Amino acid sequence: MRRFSLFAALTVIAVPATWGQSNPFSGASGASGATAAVEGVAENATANRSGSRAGAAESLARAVNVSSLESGTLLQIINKAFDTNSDSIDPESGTMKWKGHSYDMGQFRVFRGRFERYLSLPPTRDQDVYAATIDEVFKLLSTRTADGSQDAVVEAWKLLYRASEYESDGGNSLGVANQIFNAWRIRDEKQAFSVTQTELERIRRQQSASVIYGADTMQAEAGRAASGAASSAGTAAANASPRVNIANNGNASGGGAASGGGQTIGGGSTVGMTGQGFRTRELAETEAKIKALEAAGLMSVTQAKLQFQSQIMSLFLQRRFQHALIASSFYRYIFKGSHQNLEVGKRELASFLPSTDLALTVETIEFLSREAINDINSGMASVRSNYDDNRKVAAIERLQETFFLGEYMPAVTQFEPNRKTELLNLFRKIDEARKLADLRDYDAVLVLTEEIGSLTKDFRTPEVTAAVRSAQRMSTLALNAAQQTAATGDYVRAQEFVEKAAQLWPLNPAIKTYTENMASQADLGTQAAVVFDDAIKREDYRRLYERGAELSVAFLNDEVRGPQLKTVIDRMVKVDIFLSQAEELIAQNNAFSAWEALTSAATLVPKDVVLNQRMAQLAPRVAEFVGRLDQANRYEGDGRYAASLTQFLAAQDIHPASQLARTGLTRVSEAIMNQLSAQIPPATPANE
Amino acid sequence: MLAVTFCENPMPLSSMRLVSRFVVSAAMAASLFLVSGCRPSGEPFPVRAFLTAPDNLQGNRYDLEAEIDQQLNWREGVGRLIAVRTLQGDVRLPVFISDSLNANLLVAQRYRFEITVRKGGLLYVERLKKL
Repeated sequence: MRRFSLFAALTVIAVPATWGQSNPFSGASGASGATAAVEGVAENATANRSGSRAGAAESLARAVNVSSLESGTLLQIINKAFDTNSDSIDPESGTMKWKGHSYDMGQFRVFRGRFERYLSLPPTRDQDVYAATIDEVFKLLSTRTADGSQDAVVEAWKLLYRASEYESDGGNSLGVANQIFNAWRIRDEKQAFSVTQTELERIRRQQSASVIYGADTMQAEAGRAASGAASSAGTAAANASPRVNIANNGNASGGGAASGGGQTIGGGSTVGMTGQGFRTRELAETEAKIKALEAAGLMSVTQAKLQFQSQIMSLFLQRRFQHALIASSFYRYIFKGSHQNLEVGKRELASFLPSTDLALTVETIEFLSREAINDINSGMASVRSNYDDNRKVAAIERLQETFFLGEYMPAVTQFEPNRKTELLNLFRKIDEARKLADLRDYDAVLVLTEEIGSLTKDFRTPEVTAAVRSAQRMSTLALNAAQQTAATGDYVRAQEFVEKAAQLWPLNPAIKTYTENMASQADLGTQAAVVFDDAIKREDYRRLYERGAELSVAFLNDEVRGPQLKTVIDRMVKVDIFLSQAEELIAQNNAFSAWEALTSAATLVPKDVVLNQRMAQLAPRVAEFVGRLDQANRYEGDGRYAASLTQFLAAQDIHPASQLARTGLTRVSEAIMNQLSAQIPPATPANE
Repeated sequence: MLAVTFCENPMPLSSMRLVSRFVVSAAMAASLFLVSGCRPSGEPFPVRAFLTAPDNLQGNRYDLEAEIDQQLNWREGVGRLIAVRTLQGDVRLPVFISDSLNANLLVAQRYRFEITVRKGGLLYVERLKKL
C-alpha cells in the first residue's frame, strides 16, 4: 500500500516547463514552395491529413485512457510479485502478528535491514557448545529427567553463568542467574528471620507465662487477703486496700503495704504491681518485633516473586523463549505452588490467549514459550523444504516471519550459511527489482526479472514481464497520440499525452527522442529566423534556396518569412532553370544565347554567386556583344535612345538571334518615335 | 557609279597625241564636271566615329550610302525608323525618315541619304536618293 501510494504520487510528475512554452509548429500549412494551385491541393490534402490524424489521435487517446485505468492493477501485480513479506508481517504498522498478539517490529525498514544483516552474518562460534549447555540446563530442571533435588537446581544455576559467556546468549542467562541468586538470598534472609522469630516467640511465651503467673499470683494473694478479712471482722477495710492499690498503683511504686505484699509474690523476683507492669510491657515489645519480622519476611518474598515474574515476562516478550523457559523452571523450584499465579504482565499475556479466562500462571508463559519454539522449528523446517524445492521466494517469506519470532533461537541462528547466502542474493535482487519498479525503470526490471526467474521457480516472472510490457506499450501509445495530436496543431493535448507517457514509463527512450526533436525544431525555428533575415539582407537567396526544406518547416507558422521564403525559392528555381539552359547552350557553342540566359537570371538574383561565376567565365567569349548591349542600355538609361538603338543594332549584328537586342530595339525605337512625334518638323519631299 | 565617257581617236600619232591629249583633258574635265554633278555635296558619314562617340557628331550633316535592311518602327504622320546597312563597312545604322519625304522604301534598296546627326545621335534623313 505504501508503494502504491508512491506510485500514485509519481503519477502527478510535472513534465518539464519547456512543454508549456509556445510551439513554433503548425501542422495545418504545408507544401511550401508549390504553386498556388498546388498549394490549394496541398491545403486540402493537409486538411484531410489533419482530419485523419485527429481521428487517429482520438483513437489512441481512448486506448491510452482505457489502459490507464488498468495501469494501477499492473503496478500492483508488479509490486505484489516483488513483495517478499510474510502475510503475518504488516509493514504499514511495523508489527508482526503471532497468536493474536502484535509484536512491534519498530520501523519496518530497520527490521528489513536486520533481516538482511542476519542473512549475511556467519553463524556464531561455539554455538554447538552453547546449545549443549542450555540443553543441560533444561535437563537439570526438567521434572521428567531430573530428580528435582536442590543440587540439580544449583548445578543448573551454575551452568547459566557458563552459558552467559557465549555470544549468542546475549547475557540473558546471567540475568536469570542473578535473579535466582536474588531469590535465594531473600529466601535465606527469610530463614534468618524465622530463627529470630522463633527465638522471639520463645521469649514471648516466657514473658507471657511470667505475666500470667504474676497476675494469677496477685489474684491469689488478693483472694487470700479477702478470705482473711472475712474471717476477721476488723480487717474488712484492709481487704479492700490491695484492690485499691492495684487499681491506683498501676504505674506507681504503691504504698508501703502494697510493696511489701508484692515482694512476697515473686519469691525473690520482682513482684508486685510494678514488676507486673514491666513484664507486660516487655511482652508487648516482643510481640511487636515478631509482627515486624513477619511483615518483613512477607514483603521480601513478595518482592522476589514479583521481580522474578517480571523477568520471565520480559524474556518472553523479548522472544527469548529458551530463557523464559529456564527462568520459569527455576521459579517453580524457588517458589512454592501458592506463588505460581502471575502478578505482573497478566494483560500482556492475556493478549496471547484472548479467548480464555483461565488463571494466568508462570506455566502459561512456559506453555506459550514452548509453542513459540515449536512454531520456530516448524517454520525453519518449512524454509528448508521450500529451499530444497527451489521455491526460494516462499523460503524467504517463511524465513522472514520465522526470523522475527525466533531471532534468538538456535534453529534460526544456525541456519545453513550457504542457504542463507543464496537467499540473501535472491532477497537483494528482488529488493533491487522492487526499487527499480518503483522508479519505473522497466528495462532494468525486465533484466532483473529474468535473472530472478533463473534463480527460483516460484517467482512470478510471466506476470511481471506482462505487466511491464503492458506499461511500456501504454506509454508508447500515449506518445504516439501526442505526436499525432501535435501534428494537428493541438499542442495542449499533445502535452497531456506526453505527460501520460512519462507517467507510465518515465524512462521511455521514445520520450527522449520526441522531446529532443521538439526542442531541436523549436531551436531550428529560432536559428532559421536568424539565417533567413541575414540572407535576405545580403540578398544571398541561394543560401535560402539550398536550405529551403529545412526553413520551410521552420516557417510553417511564420506569416512573414514563410511567403518571403516561397518567393525566394520560386525565383531561385527559375535561376536554376536559366543556369541549366545556359549550360546546355554553351555545350552547343552558343555562347551569346547562354549569356542572354544568364543575363535573364541575373535580373532575378543579381548577387547570386553561382550565376556571377558563370557569367564571368563566359564574358570573354561574348565581350563585344556584351559591350554593345551594355552601351545600349547605358544610352537608353541616359535617354539617348538613338545612340542606344545604334548599339542594339550593333549587338544584333553580332548575335542576330539576340532576344535582348530585339526587345531593346523595339523598346528604344518606340521611345524615339514618342520623342519625334512631338518634335519632328515636316520634312521636305525628295525630288527624284 | 561614276559616269565616265570614253571617245575614239582615228587621227595620226603626233596629231593624234595632241588631239588625244586634248580629248583626254577635255574628257577628264567633262568627267570631273559630270562627277561633281552626280556626287553628294556632304561628307561621307564617319561610321566608326559615330559608333564610338555619336555625341561628337551632333549637328553635322553627312551623306550616307546604304541599303535598306529593316524597318524598325513606323508611326503614321511622323515617320519611320529604318535600319540601314552601310555600303562601306557593312554596319547597320538606324536612320529616321520622316513621312514628309514620301519615300517608298523596300528592303535591299540602296539610297544615298543626306543625314543630320541630331541630339541623342539620331540620324535624321533630310534627303534621300535611290542609287
